Amino acid sequence: MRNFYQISRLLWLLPGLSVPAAFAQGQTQAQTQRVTITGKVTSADGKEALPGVTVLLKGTSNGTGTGPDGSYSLQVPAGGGGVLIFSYVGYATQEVQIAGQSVINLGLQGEAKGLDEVVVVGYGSQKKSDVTGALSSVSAKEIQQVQTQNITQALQGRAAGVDVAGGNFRPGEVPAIRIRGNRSVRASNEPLYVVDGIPLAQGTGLNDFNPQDIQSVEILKDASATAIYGSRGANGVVIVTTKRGQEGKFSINYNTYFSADRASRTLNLFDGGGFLEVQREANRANGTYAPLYADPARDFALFGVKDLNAWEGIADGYEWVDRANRVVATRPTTDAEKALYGAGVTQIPIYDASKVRTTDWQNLALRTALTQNHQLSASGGTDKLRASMSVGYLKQNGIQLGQDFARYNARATLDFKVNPIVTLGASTNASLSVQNYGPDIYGRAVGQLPYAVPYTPDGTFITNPGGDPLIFNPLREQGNAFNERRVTRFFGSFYADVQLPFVKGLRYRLNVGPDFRNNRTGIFQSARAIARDAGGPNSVSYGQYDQGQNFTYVVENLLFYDRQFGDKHSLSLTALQSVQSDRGEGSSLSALDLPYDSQKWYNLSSTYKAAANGFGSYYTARSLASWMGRINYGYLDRYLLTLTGRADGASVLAPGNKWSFFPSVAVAWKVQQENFLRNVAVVSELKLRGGYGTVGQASVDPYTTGGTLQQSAYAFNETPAYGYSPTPGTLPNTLGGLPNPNLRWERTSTLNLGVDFGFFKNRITGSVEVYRANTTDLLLPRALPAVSGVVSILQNVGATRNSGVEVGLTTVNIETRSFRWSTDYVFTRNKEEFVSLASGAVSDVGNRWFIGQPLGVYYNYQNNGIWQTSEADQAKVYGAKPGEIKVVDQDGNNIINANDFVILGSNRPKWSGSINNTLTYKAFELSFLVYARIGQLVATGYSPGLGGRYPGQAVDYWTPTNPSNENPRPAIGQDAAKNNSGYPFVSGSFVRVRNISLTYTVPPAISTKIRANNLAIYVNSVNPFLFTKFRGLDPEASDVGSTSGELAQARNLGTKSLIVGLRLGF
Amino acid sequence: MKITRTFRALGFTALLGLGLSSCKDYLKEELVSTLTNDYFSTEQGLEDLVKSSYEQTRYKFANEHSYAMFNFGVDELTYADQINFYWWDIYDSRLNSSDGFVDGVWTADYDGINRCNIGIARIPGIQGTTTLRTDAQKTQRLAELRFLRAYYYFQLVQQYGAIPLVLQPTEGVQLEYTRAPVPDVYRTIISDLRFAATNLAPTTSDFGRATQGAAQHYLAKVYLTRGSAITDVRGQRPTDIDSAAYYADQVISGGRYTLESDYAKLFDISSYTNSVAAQTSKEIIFSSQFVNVPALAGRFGNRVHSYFTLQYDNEPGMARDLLNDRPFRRIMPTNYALDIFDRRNDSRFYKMMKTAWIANSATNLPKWTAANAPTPALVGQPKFAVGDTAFAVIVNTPQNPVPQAQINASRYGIFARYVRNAAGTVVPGYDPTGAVGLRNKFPQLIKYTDPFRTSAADEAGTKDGILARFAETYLIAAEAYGRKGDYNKALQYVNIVRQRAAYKAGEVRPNANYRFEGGVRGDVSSTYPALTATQASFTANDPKEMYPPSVSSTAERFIHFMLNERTRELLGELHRWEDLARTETLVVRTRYLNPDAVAIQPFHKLRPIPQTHLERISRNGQPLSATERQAEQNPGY
Repeated sequence: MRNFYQISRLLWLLPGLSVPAAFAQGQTQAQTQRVTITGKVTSADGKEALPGVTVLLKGTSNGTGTGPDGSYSLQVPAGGGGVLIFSYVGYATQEVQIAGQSVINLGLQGEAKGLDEVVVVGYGSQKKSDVTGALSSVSAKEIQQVQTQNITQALQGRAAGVDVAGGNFRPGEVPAIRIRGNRSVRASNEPLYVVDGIPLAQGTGLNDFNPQDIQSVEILKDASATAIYGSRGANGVVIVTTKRGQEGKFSINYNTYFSADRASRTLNLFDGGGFLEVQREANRANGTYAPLYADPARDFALFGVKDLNAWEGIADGYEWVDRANRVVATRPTTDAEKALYGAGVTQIPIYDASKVRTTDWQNLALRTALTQNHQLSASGGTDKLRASMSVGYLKQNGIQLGQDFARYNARATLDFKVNPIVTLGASTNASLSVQNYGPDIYGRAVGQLPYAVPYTPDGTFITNPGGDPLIFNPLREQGNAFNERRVTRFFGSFYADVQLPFVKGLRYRLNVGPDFRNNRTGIFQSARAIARDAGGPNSVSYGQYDQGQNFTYVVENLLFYDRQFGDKHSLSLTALQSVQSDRGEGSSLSALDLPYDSQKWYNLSSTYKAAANGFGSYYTARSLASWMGRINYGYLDRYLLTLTGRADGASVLAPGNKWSFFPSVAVAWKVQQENFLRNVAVVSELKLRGGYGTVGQASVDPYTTGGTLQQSAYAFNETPAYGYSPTPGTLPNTLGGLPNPNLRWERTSTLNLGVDFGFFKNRITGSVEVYRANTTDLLLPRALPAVSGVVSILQNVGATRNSGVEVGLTTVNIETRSFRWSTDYVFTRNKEEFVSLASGAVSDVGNRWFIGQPLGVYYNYQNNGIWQTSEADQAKVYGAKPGEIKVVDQDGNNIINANDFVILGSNRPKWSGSINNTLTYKAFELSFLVYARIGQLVATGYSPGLGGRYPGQAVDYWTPTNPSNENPRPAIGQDAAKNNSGYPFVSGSFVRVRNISLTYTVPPAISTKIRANNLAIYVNSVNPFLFTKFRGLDPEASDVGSTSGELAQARNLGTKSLIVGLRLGF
Repeated sequence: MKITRTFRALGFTALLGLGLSSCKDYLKEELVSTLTNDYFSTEQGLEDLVKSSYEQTRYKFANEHSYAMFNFGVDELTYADQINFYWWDIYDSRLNSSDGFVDGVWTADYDGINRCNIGIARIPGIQGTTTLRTDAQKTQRLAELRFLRAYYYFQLVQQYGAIPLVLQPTEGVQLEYTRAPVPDVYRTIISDLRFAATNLAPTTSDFGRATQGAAQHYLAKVYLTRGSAITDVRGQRPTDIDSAAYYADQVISGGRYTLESDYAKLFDISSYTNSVAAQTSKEIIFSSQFVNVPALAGRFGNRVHSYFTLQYDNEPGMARDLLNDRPFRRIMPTNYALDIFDRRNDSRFYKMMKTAWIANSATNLPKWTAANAPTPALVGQPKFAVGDTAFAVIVNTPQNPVPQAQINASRYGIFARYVRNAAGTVVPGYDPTGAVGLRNKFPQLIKYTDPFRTSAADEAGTKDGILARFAETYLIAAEAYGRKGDYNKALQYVNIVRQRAAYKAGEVRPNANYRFEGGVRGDVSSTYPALTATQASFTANDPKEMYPPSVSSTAERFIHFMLNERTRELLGELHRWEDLARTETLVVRTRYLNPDAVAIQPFHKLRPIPQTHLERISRNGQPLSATERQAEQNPGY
């Protein structure tokens, strides 16, 4: 419950909608004589001090909050009259007549959980019971339960409708977050992030904020909730509220944890003997390894001669008469072997595949990585001034050599009540993060020949173990290939809040949010780096220095009007005018052949080449202007209505189409307030909600409407001849430069129906949502026939639909004085589909868009096993032979071509969900979170090559004597086996135990001896168990993509962690 | 009053926010670092557009389609031991419409065409003040663009057959494309080239821009191509061969081009300056321009240098270096390509082929052992030093095999095409027809060798991609006259090329000449008399010309003789697949001379239409059904 204590404080900072924010009674009040009332607020049984309880003099805005020990102190006008209102989330609000007392102690009665919980809804906050839209809330406590490096990770499995895919476990990388599925293909599917009221610039994200500074995260999901963010609400809104200073006692908190990470699992690779046999078989298929048995002479000639150290590993498999001169021991063949190898083969070498050396390259590339995190925070305040500060340090080492991430945070918040009318405040966050992206060590390690070794017996590094010139030993890359990304960021949210005179209930607020970001990427590859040929005769070093600066600002003017009219009508109006602008610029410089390595990228002008290798600079700017209005109306505290309208104009859209209006309406009915339910004890809450609204999306790149040109590099003889042509759009992630004067807003209209409920004194609480979101005027990068000269264009074509069900449920299973067991269930099912495309309800194969299918489908050959020896004739029809991949000839025309592609599935899960159990016994709390994503295909990037050159996952493959249907016959030279393009798509369904955490809160009796207010220690195991049939690394990766130079199959290397931590407060 | 002051300040700030948005310009996109299509309404913009229109000539050299689509699956070259794209050589089912090369070349050519179309539409209307001020200036640029458009269409029509013929710039989304018949495409190409030949300046100070001679050379080639059709329908006319001869003669008699005196000079890499001189030789009529400035490499540079390499870096005394290049080892000469040369008298073979590799690494030099040391004192000593020959490839004949014992006793490595083993049997030392394992050594074509890249790993080659050179003009002229029956004139032109090909008096031969090719050591007399071509080469079935058995008449043999001569002069210069398709000899020659290409079928004379095209076009507003797509595809795919 502690976590709500600061939320409630927000009522003082954000425009209060739930607490009657009465207007101070004139300026003369300041001169009135005052007395001080003190006291302590505890739970009803008096055992627990309640910090953060709001204490308010009724009918005024004069109030305070209790400190960590539950005590408070409030100045009230002298005279002994008046009423104090004590309110605290989760407890019944209580009113106490002052009646001349100067000390008022109070025990608050616990109340049905949830009803009075206050949530931030965007441009204000509301009691959860008054919310009309669909939102999920994640508390600081939940965020603390699983130690994470960034806020996005912390949301995983915590909120219905929010799909967080781990994706990439590299330190410093942020997982992808999707709220209610994808709706846009080209335009971003990232939600809008709002930190302390300031919408962040697109693409900046939350990675620079410390999760431990977070008070709460609210996720707005349906259009009626997000419509106040208009053009940017289409993908949902994530509202982050940071911790602020409290009025009352000064407190200092120290949080720390240490974590040890290991690979959650590694690949099952061929061992030395296994891969050697693949190589033999690959050569047999090609006629270059005649014996059907292991023959040391051929082994030596084909695999051993190039690296005698590797040969020793192969030689281990044989018995030798004279190993140095390669005279092998032989034995007579059996009859069965004669039948197989030929009658003439009477002696064969003595060979045992299991004795061939296997180097555990994966182990050599990985480490147990230590992470440490420290956060020191201080906060406190008076009735005039409240402040908090915190500094944080995170250092995360990657489980791969060369990868790490460090983040330094410094934060301050300030709320200054200048006078009864004006409050000023700020929250700032300065951060520096340094990511060593790291070379591709693991990816290359899994590609090493298992019988080869990284070092000679005398310790000399072997550049090409096994002698293959393209298989480089990666184990010194961390000292030779650097990619360091530094991001410095200063983010501020400043406000002024003014109770306007003359009109009761009218408030003005100004928000200003500057956001400075500077990023720098330094790349250095020494001449020994693999990318520079690993120290070959012409290897030279390479350095690159990229830097970019961004400045974003938001200025918002807000007017609030809150009035209660009689007992029945409550009205609150919000009006907003805002502007936002992003500006970015940067430059890049690279040079080759630098004289010394220690400079990395810091002295590029010293290049021996006397010229830069490459250089460039860029500039980009976008702006957004908005007007918004919102009406909240409540009648009898039973019937609630929310109306919003927002108009947005975006610079990135075509002239004439820049502005659009986004309206929404939502209603709610608190059924439990009706007489017929009021006395039904079973039902503590029952609220029906319905909303409909439209939001927009224009997260397109600037300058796409005019038809961009790209520079072409050419030369006439030795003279540069730069030219310009329409951007053809042939490069990945580029758009063709056709002028596009019709580009306009993509719009999503959502109908959302929800029910919030609490039964049995809120032993069971939760909500169920059903929704249907129709997106029209989809911003699609549409592939065009190349005959046009440009191959793609961003267009408003077609429509998608997302429909789904979300369930969030909390049950208190057992509750006794000392033991409590509660369970949170989250379930999400979303169906994403194309409804129409450019030519109506007709699938567009060229773009891989299919009516009724999600946006990211895998469309490829359907595997049908391997051609078997008995099917040789049938195979011949297709120009195939036994041992090759058999794919389904869908159109039956005896030709395998693109007409035989079918939809294999998509990377969108059918459903996802989680179960979180929390068990509390006295000072112990045990929680575990189980998370599941079911029904998605994952592109592993793995497809059988079995070319006998590059090793890979151990698989069952076809040979004339092993009629496998799994993988084709190895054959020399095939980096990719014929027709294997359907292979990488496999089920990625998984269930994983995300977290098991045990916390021990040291009893106050002990902690007070060290003058601590609280002291807790915890042990946390993250990702301890994974249940999946997936055979790659971590199925949580959403998609491996194709742009990385890493072996795709190695990209999703997951981690599991063991964490110990301490929370200490004074 | 304090509060009033606060209000005043807040009011000011609020006005600031409002003021920003009230200004309509707040949402206007300012183009700072980005240009849009409006730029092409300016004189400078159109000049830049013309320059960019040359860019897609580079695409032919940009990637592995260079050899795969233009020099694989033919008689003269076949796959080596890295078989990544070898289906273009063996014609298996992976050569289909989904292949990336099919799409890449198509896309690049149409991109180039769209650039040309924009300029052709806009230049006449521009009122320039400097470079596009006069009609003559505009006509010059228009002629360049029409030359380039013809170049791109010529490549497309030869590869894909009937194709959409787009002559206007793309203004908005266009999906309804139909394939124009091949004769229409040729008519457009000829019309563009004739305009170019009439209007282009004969010379240019910007070496690399199209000139009159380039237009004439291509006109001759296009007419010859159209006129070579036998069963194909290309819109051929009886006058085509005359036209081919006429325009080739225009180039020959124009006096602006001469053959390099020494074939080796064409591919000189002794220094960057000499290499640039070779690339701007008077023999070069048109070439795609590359330079050694990384920023000007574009996306790829000229990458062909990597593909003809062999595996040298696993040999003792050898490490990867810039000169020897990254051993991609994709493509190697067939036995036909080795044996169609008169290697004794024709200097071109050893000038275009590298057969000896010089040791460049002291770390793994081989040492003499007691078993093979010539003298006991040498046991344990390195067999050779850095700078000596590390290994050699020997192009011998079955009649002249290298004994295995000689190989064993040799200081350096020897890979002979024919080896006599201890048992006296002749076996291959390397073999263009053998298993993959026997294909990692071969004579290596050095026409693209490029030591001017930034590092051995750098794929972006710096040398111009030769598209038309004067020797080819002679061969076009010769073929045209021969097709007209004027063999004397044909041989006159062939022999001009042969004269340059022969060893000149006083010219020193490589050692292989006397060791394996029957030459006499120390002989420096001219070989032109022996190399002079005569009608005997095609009036009778001269075995040296390796005619396919089905070739019977003199006229037919003459065509094959010219194809042989084109191999001898132009081997590996990325003309071959188009030459064989043009002469409709692709199937007969490839089957006969390239044993790897057994699966070739008559339909392979055209490439598949890219699947992306079939899937993205519309008919009457609707995408094509699978049946319609199949109908739109070239037969067989």
